[in-house]
Amino acid sequence: MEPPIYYSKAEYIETDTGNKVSRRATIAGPQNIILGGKTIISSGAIIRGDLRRTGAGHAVVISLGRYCLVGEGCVMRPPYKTYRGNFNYYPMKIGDHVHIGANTVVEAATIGNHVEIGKNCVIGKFTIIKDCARVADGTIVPPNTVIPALALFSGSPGRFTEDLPESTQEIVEAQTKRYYTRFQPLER
Amino acid sequence: MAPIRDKYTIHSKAVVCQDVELKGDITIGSGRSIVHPKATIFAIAGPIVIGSGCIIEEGAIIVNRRKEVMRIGDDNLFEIGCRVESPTVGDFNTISTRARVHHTVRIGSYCVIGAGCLVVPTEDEFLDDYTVIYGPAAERRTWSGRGKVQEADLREKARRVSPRDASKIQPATAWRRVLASVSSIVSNVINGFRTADTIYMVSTKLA
Repeated sequence: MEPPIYYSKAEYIETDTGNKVSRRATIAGPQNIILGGKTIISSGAIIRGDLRRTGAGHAVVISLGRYCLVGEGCVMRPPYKTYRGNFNYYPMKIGDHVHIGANTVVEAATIGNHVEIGKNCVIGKFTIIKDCARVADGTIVPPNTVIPALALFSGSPGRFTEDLPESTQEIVEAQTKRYYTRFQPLER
Repeated sequence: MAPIRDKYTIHSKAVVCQDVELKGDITIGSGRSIVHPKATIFAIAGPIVIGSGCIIEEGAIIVNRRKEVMRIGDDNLFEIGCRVESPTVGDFNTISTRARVHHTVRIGSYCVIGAGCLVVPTEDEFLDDYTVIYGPAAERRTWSGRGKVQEADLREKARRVSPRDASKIQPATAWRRVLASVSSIVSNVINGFRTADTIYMVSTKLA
């Protein structure tokens, strides 16, 4: 049993679905952000939900699944491009059990379930990361990359390095759940 | 050292978001520039002059450590978390995510510094126009200039700012805000990013 990771109770806001959001995180346009539950957003993170598609109506800009972690100083920003002459931001969809390390910049289009992204990475625009993939620390993933399932990517530019074991899903799931239970408030 | 005196001259059509850190003598000229939240512009020694149509994204840091004026031209894009200390930057450059450019480098025009590149020569140097720096070893090439118009067009659209937006500055607000207040303030300031436009593509097949 690992020791708990303590945080000061005053710093985090806990929602009724168990999301823990730091007050020191910059969350722009929270009405366009969906958190699946039991997701942790650490201090210094920047999440841009205000950069949404043009046009009327409700738009989900960034959706995160359950048991996700957005590390300290992470920047999450929806990717943009022009399509048929129109400039637009496109929604970013992130699955369950996704951990994103500290100071990583994410402009991906889709991230699957059970994905681990290391610290100091740059995930380029419109990257698609499939289930159970892993991105090593300090990787620079160029725009429009597709990272297949059960692959480890590393380096600059990020390249396929090795296959991950079939058990990755269970391992990552257990690990993210454990992290959430370890993340405990410290009363003071 | 004498304390830094703050003096901001920002064109009324430029957008400076809430939660941007500005310090020293800073001029953002002739409109259409956008400074995203959490960007930092530090004029430590000399002033910083930024031209029109620049986009400065989240966490970008622009520092002037020299006495002379740091001149940044027009239509430059400073992506997330980059750090630029160059005394001169021409027009239409892209400094990609997490790139770092030292104060010994002067940047020409139409240059691209790739993601995560470190450009830290010990002696002064000038980057010629159309230089592209890329990869972990900061290798160099020259861009043929293909796709220049498309890139310019993308950038122009990226910063479409409705003219009703006056610049709203709130330097060094730090992080003492609660979630609710953030949404209202920030979205007010940034509303200028979206102008009504017909959407051709309704569904994105991203799933």
